[in-house]
Amino acid sequence: MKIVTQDTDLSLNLNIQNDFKLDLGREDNLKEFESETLRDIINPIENYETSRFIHKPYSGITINPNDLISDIWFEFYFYRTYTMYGQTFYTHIGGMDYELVGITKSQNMKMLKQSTQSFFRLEFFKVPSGQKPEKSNRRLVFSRDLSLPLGERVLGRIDNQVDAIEDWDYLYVPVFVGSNYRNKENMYLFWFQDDSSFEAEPILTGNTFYMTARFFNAGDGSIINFSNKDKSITDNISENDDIYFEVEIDRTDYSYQIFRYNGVRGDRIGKSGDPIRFYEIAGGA
Amino acid sequence: MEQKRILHPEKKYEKAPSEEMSISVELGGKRKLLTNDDRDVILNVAELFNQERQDSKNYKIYGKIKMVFRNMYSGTTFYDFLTSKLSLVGDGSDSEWTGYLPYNEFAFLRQDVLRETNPIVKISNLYDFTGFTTTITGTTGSTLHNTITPINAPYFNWNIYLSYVYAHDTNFPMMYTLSGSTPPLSFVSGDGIPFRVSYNGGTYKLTSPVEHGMNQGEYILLDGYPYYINYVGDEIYNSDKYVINIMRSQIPSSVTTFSNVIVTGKRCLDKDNITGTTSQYYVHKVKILRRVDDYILDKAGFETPIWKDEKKLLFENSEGTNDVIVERNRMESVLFDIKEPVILTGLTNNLGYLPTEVYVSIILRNGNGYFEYPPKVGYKFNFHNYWIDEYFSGSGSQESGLTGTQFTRNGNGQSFLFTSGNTVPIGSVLTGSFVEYVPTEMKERVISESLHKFYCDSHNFNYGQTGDTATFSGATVDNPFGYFYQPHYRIKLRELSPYVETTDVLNIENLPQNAKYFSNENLWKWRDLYEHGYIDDLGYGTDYPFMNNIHYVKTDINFYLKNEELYTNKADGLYSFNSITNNGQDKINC
Repeated sequence: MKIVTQDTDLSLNLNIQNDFKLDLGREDNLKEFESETLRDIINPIENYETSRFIHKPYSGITINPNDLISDIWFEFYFYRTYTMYGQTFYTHIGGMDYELVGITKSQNMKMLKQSTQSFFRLEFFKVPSGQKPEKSNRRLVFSRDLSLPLGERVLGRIDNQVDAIEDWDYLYVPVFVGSNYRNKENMYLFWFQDDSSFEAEPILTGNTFYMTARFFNAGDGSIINFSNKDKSITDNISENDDIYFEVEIDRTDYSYQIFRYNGVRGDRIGKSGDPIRFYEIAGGA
Repeated sequence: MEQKRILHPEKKYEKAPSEEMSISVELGGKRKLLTNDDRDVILNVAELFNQERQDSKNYKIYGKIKMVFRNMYSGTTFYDFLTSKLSLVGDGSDSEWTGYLPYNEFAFLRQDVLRETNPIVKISNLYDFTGFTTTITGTTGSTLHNTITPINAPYFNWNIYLSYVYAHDTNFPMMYTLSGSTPPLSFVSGDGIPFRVSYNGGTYKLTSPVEHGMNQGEYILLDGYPYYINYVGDEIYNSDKYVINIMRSQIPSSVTTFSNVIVTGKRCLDKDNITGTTSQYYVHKVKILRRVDDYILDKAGFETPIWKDEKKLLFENSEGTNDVIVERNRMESVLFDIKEPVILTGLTNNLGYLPTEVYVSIILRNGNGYFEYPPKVGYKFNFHNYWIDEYFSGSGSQESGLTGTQFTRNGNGQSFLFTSGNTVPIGSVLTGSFVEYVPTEMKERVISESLHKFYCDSHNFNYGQTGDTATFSGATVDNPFGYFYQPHYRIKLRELSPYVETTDVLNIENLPQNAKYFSNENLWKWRDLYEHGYIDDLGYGTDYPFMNNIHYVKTDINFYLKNEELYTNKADGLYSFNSITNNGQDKINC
């Protein structure tokens, strides 16, 4: 055996950790890209935090414009049928009476199941931007129940008004007040402060909602729809124009306002002295 | 060649949890060659969630505030509007109109709001019912003094702000007063803690009205000279926190420091390195982060505090109205919610790094102006059981970051001047805690929270606040006694480790912002920033619920509003079981 020596290296020494910088940062870029892709497709962070929106305060309680209240008022009118001179009339006038939908004064006064489990449901819909609301394009996003005992009361006569002895007691009427001082549940709306999570579903973005109402009668199981204006029993109902009120939320001050709606936005409604009035739909097409 | 040392997860900080560092590959398995540029990524939702949690800077601040207060000052006023509202001591049948301010003047949520109500409609046939005509009630609110509506009621007496410590002040003027003829000692915050000096024959005893934070074997710096602390405490329970003892033998005969009745002293750890080991003393400067309408205040449903409400039915009030219900105390529990999350970036605290805590600042707003405004700022040692502190005399101690607006009202043929508080704009600076900073430990210790004191102008409501009472002395027209409360409540967002990490490696990456280089030791020192979700064995750490890319930080605050005259737990914290003073009535009042 002969050992040959020579001056040239016969081996190449490599460190365990190498950084040849051959990829000019490509690996780092790929890592970053990988991280971004992962964040996009796997459990991306979505903000579903809901916020409370108050009925936008308004003045008028005193002459000082800085004295504000935020009470919101709802009135619901059922159809009343009466006969006079042999002729039958249908009207919403005098329609704020649960007896018109079969809930008797006794059930009302004694808070029986027919009374306590009946409720109005305010339904809030979103529609694609620029379109009028109708069943084909609306999407129910939330609702708010106004149960009968959350309403206002009057002192009503509950006897048959024939006997000499009068009998009076408190009766609920379909009038509801939402206030931040009392009956808070009638007033506040809850919605997403940040709607960027709904970019894939544009219908859910934006600040505009459309509100309508239905009455769920625990006495007979019936459901009554309402219109936003006093329509005759023979009038046709235009879904675009006659069903909804427009609701606008303001994410900067966490408030909302409700407007008349007749295909286009009208005046603000719901303030003291100008309640949101819903009228039973009993006929039409 | 640049040297890098890669730390294992369990070495990130002391007791940090370990993580899986390797992947077990089974011998039997399918193998597929990756095609060029394909990436193979292991998905771990828990890891991703943790990563998002650590990266998130958003903190939602909310919680509950419980008022702990008893309305104890009864008095009189010539302002007839207020007289008619007083919660009378009697029942009004004797035309004696001495009473307590109605609780609504102290309430977080006032209930005497002007609001619309429905009159009770009496109706025979509901088809005649056409709706309500609302009326402004005459009993739940008034426009005579100020108009309070349901909208402004939660912001009328108190305001809640979010704030943080952005700086500190070593020159904040302070004073410590003793009873009797001993002249008060004026000093600045940087001078240290006040001590009362007494001589026991061979030993000088220094008693502090606040916890001194010093230990046996350390030094106390008095007049710039370090004295060895021979031992702490005396015969009274818990006194080691308040009393230090110095043997007379170590004091040069020429020193006059100990002939003073009151001195100020600083903690020093090493007499050979006084500059580097002496504690710094200062007052936090608190900067407002949010506007007054950036929070919601609401009732806490279904919660009933253990203390009782105090209401009574008067025979008649000063206006001659019969059967009036007045309320002296109402136990309130309210929810607060800062609407927008705090984004913890771009802020620097007084120590030069991103704050690890913010504050909920509860500030007297005084909408009706019955109290002098702005409130005065003091510390625990400015409140004494049986005498008033000279520090509060005049207007020098008023909170300079708060301003008020004056207005007048007439009553009984006189004019009355009131001052209600203005809202505090973002960026305003208020006075915070009195703090000791120990440089070697890189840690702050709160000596005393700041306290706000307020009282009524005796012309508007006189409860004897400008003179001596049976149990309280020293009050004057310039220095009346009143109420006090703690305005700033600390909310921890991140946790720094209780220990100090060190390294002598100069080029170390990812050091926390709080790292400092100590040139005399050639060391970097810092406190580790604990990750969210990590709680060490001592209980340090944060573990707030995390969703919506937000940390939800809930805080419950007991808001103690104390009567300065009658609250008798203001002393040093030293209570001798045998020492009964004040005719045996040395009990704690509220």
